[in-house]
Amino acid sequence: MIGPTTAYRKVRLRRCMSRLLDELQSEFMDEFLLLLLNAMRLVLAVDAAYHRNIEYKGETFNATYVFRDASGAVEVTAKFEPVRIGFIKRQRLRVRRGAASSSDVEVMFVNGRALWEFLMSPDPDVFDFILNNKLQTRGNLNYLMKFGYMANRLKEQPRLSAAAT
Amino acid sequence: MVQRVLLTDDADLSAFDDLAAGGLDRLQRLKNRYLEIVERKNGRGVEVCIERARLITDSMRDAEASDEPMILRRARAINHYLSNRDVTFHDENLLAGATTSKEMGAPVYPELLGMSIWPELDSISERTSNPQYLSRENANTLNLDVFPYWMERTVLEQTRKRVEHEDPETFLALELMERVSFFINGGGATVSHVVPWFADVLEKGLLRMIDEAAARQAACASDSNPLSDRKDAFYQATVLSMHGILNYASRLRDEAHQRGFHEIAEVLSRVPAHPAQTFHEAIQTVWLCHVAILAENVNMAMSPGRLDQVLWPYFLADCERGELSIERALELIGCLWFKIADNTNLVPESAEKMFGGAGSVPAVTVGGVDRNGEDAVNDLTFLMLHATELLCIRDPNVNARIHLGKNPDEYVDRVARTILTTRAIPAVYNDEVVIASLQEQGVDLEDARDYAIVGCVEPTTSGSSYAETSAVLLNLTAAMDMTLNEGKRPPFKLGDREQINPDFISLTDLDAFPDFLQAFDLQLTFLVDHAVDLATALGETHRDVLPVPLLSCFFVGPMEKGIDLSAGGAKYNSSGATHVGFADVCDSLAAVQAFSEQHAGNGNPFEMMRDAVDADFIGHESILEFVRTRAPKFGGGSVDRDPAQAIAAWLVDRLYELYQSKRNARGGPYRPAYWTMTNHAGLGQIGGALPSGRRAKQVFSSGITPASQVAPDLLAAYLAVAKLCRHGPPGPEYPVPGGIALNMKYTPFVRSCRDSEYLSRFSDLIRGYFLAGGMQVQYTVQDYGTLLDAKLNPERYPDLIVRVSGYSAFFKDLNEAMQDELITRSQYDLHSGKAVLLRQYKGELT
Repeated sequence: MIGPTTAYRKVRLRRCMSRLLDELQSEFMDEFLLLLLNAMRLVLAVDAAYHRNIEYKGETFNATYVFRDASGAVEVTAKFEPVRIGFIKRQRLRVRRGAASSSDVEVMFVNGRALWEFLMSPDPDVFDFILNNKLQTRGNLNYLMKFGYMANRLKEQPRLSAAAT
Repeated sequence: MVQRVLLTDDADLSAFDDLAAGGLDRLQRLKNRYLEIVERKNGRGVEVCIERARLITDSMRDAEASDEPMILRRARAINHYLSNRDVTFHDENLLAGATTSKEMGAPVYPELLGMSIWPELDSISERTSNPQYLSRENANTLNLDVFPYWMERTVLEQTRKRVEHEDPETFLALELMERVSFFINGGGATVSHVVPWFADVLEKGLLRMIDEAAARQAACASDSNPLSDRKDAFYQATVLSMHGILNYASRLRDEAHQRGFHEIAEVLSRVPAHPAQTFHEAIQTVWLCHVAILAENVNMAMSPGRLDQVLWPYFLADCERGELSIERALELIGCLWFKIADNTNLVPESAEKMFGGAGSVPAVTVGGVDRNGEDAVNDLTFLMLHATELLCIRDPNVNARIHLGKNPDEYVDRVARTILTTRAIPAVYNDEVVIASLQEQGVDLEDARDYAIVGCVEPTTSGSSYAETSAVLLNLTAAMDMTLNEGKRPPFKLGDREQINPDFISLTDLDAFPDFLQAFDLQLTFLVDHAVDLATALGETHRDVLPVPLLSCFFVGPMEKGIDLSAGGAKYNSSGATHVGFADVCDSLAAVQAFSEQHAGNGNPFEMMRDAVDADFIGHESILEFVRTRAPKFGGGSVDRDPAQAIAAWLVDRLYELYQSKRNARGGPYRPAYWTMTNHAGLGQIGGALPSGRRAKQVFSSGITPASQVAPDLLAAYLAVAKLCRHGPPGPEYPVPGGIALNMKYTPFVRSCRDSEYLSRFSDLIRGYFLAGGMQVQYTVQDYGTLLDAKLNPERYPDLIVRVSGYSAFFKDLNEAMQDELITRSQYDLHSGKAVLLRQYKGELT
């Protein structure tokens, strides 16, 4: 039984995935990050197995990520935090433009396409991107490792898996 | 005088040249299985083993609210793991126990760098470089249960928290380290790199060692010294850890009984609880203690040491009782070799570029002299070399010590034959130079004589040095790049060059080469200072959050002092600092010198060189031609007159001076070294051009070896390096105490490796190099064509072993850059002594 909210989110997720796929056709993919984070946010909300990445056996994942591209055109904060809706407290991902004043990890990347290659490549590898100067980080790298894993598992969403391969 | 008891009639072991024919069927079957796994013919190949990570994490999580000292929490976690881990017997090996629950496993150490594979959890089984099988279920356990606990608790993150606000220079060092191309500090990933002392456990057994530790603890209780609480916790932790080993051993014994492995069960009913009485018991004890040490310490270069010495009394006793045959001795040694090779490192794919193809590099050392300075070569030395030859597997990393004044010629020839047969193993060490180097570092003569190799090539004393030999790996070419670019580096794609060192000398202010050398020294000092600062900070974190009570039981010092190894309990407490791009930087400095002298008065030659290097010499072909054909090169000329040799000597002395003045977290000195594993290939691939004429993205030179195709003959190559290992005033006499890797490639002899003329030429060259002062040399006996064919047709060469710049590796496991480095590495013809020309192969290389 799917509630109306979940059904609505699934529709939004499908739309988001479509836009994400369109974005892959653009040269620099400036909107890729926002679309990806939104997709992640929606999948966290509708997919219980995926949601375990941020809430599992009573442990919650609280973290703030700041992403910046080299041109300064993209600056996004992604925050995993608890949200109270009525009596229910659930872990959510919040995404907003602009940089939070403090974060667990800051990720600077050349452009959206480089970030896509990093997050969605068959063998995602943070060090490889650092070695090749496509990515720079500041802060706890373990958070980026986890994010890389979560982004990669988004590929299991039907439409994205085709694009990723 | 070789100690002979068993090999009296057939010292050459010619009756055992073939596994099957020599009655060594068990080893043949074990080897077949080993090859099936490394070639992935069993379907899975090497497997990631999460058992340790899961059990250790469970225990640490449960103890989170406890106010117990960290050393006790760690000991409980190790005990919990050893007491509950898998006790499966995978094959017919005569020894019980395994590093992981898999036939060949890569264990996860999440407290160090285990989490670096997090993004690869779903792809590691099928990745291009060295895939390691991980089931979906185990990936989920790591993702949901194990890794989240360690997010903020790794050594690196604990260090970051500590220095972020309090120590800006060390924090800068941490940020530089995370850029990889300046320096890498091993402390975030490993300390290990030591040789434990097994003689005590063999003589006493663990029960007596536990009693002794308990007695020391009891003595602390009645002591009013303010440090006694800390000592009390330390001794408690050692007792807990040793009980963990006993629990593991008794469960293995029960399993052996159940499976009908009665001989193994019988051995385990006595050891490691009680003193070893037989050769089999002694080997089993060493192996179980090694496994237990890896439960606590990451499986990187934990080295069993001088096994031909440690096991000799038990071998001798068996022989005197008439209970040991050559076949049986070889079988037991072979079983130990396969056990030592039962694990490999867990690394992300990019680390395969930097450290590609490494196993866990456990070094075994044979030969040399004993603590009294007498010939230590014995039957076991020969049997271990023979087993190495017969099995020809990647691990253990076998090393042969040679003392020209004490060891017989027969032994040196036997070492040479093993190298020719295996084409790569063992590496050889000059006792006289190593012992003197260690003495110059303040090591007592008897301890120095008892040195063994850890990891790739680093000499340390057995059971008394906590040597942390991989504390720093510094990219010397970064200092050259920063010199040419006013302290800025690297050409980061996210923006302009970044000012790394605010202190620099502008090229416009330079008048002559000595000024350039001063500018280079400024950048070099900056990098060394920061790399050492961070290494020291990481050492402090290890002391606070990752004490090693179990390992401390197997050392001279900690038990007597009541101080953990990580806190300085060992008798000797050095750290190692190795360097990438040594010959490239020597050649670059020599090129700048030659070019500046040639162009004096014609503009600013230093700026001209910088512009050429920045452009990768495109549009500056005349400069490229000049530096390639007219500038001197390290290894390319006379050691007495060549300016490049003088520069190399200056650099070695300068680094010695910089490091020796610093102290690590345990109060010991840093020892400079020159080995590079495969980092010279990995870092070379991302490096810009250099004044030496090396173009951008080409591999750097390996270890302390002259750049490929520079040294025209063997004499030039050997003498250039020998002169650096032992020179004299005004610098230190032995300026490379941390060890070196001289990588030589010889044309194989086509007829037989027993050919006496070829063999004697081979061993004579080792002797000559050692007499000239050389410390170490290692060989790959392959020609350009074979290696090129192996690159193009890897399926034809599944078990081809080569020497990178330290350890041995399967050629097929190396990344393309490292394969190309090995192919283009100068090949020397033993008969003529000349380098064989490479040019006919150039078109087929990347």
